[in-house]
Amino acid sequence: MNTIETNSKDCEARASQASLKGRVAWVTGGANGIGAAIAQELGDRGAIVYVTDLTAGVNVEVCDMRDPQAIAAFAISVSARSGRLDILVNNAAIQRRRAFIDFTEADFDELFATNVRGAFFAAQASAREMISGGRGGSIVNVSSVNATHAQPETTLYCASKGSIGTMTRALAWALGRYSIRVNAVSPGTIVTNLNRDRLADNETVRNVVAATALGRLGTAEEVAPSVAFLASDEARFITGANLAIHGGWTLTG
Amino acid sequence: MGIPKGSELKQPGERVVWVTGAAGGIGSAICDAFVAAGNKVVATDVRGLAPRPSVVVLACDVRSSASIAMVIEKCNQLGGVDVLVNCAGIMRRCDVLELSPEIWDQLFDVNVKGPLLCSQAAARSMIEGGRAGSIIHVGSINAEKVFAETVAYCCSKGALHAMGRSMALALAPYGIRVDMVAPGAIDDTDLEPERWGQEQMRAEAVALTPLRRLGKSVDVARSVLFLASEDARYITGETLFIDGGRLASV
Repeated sequence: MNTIETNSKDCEARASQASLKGRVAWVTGGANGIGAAIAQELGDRGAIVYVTDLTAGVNVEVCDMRDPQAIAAFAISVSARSGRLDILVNNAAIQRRRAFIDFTEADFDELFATNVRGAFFAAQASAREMISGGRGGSIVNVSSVNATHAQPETTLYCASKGSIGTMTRALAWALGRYSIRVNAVSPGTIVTNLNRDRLADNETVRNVVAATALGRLGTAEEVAPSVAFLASDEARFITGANLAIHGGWTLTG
Repeated sequence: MGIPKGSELKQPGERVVWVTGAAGGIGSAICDAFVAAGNKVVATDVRGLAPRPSVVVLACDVRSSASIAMVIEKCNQLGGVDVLVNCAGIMRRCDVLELSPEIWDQLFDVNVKGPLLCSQAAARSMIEGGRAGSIIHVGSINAEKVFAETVAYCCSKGALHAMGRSMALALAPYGIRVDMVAPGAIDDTDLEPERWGQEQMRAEAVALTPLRRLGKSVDVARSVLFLASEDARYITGETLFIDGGRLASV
């Protein structure tokens, strides 16, 4: 997408899309998948985007979400480099699939360290920068349909996303007075470059599709615009909200 | 993707958007937002509507199928309705012990049956015309956070939200998405101007709101525009609360 395109059709297509020009954003877990699509979308709308992940890549810096000190240092470094931090997208998360009785303490600690503890401290570190900037800000947590609708063998992931949902509401109160909005998006089953093979021709997936009103899985590019919307001034009276992006899955079940 | 064969999605600038309750604060802001985005807007209200630039204004009582049919006919002349925003709604405040069947019926006729009839008519037109589309119901925070003296209103908005989710399932096979926006305390609606004019009422609403302020109609309009757009093409049956965090609160 090209923000300076002058073709009238393109202008119309983008008419509802908020500009993020001049905003500085941090997307965690942004090397691949949904995070990468979000980083691209925010950048397309004019934001300066800092992307972190566990390993460095092209335009991707390292920040281990299990390390609160590294998280705090990264938020400070964004402010130092760009003079501000306006948007945090807490996207980094891991998944572990096991039968409930087989989950280990190490599984629990590792999953919660990234999915919940990391998101909390990234929000805290970013909020400090946003408060000192005095311009408010927006935090978007990438939750999951699994925050409210569980599936077998992903017990820890479901619990971690439930925590993200509650954290979103709690932070909305904690940060509202600083005009920092905190919202969540809850994607359904999303096909990305990370899971395309696993999702191909699989009974579980066929069941999900059958239970999804729109009759198909979603794409990362269909999650990203919702994040951009919530991050923008278009959503300036929206906080503590959860936006489900699931094609009508879970409405019946 | 997700659009049945035979359906063509129009460019935003070619879309015909029908907004009910367009004389009110939120309805008016929704019309403005769609006009600014280049859409053709048909604005209706049971009350008189002043002529507006770039908008077709019509009288329509959402309780009347005949009235609705006239709007659909007008939309057809413009190319057929692509987006319906059910914004018409009324509020009555009354002690539950005094709540009469007449008041109950008034609220449900406008707030629930009206959106049903308008949605049916719009969906039939979309399906007949092979057009994918979007229906947005303007619900309320009061579907979830309730007051003692607005029992019937709260019930009507709860019904509207549930109806919208159910409609999302029913209309998805035709490529029609159905979503809700649920405004919280909006200070430029005309639902109860005498109440919102009172400083104490405003202060009480602000105290319940994490963002520590009331919202504006335009904030609701922006969310409606988003949900009706291709940016939301994998979102259906969903409710977006525009409430400054009220739902997230005790």
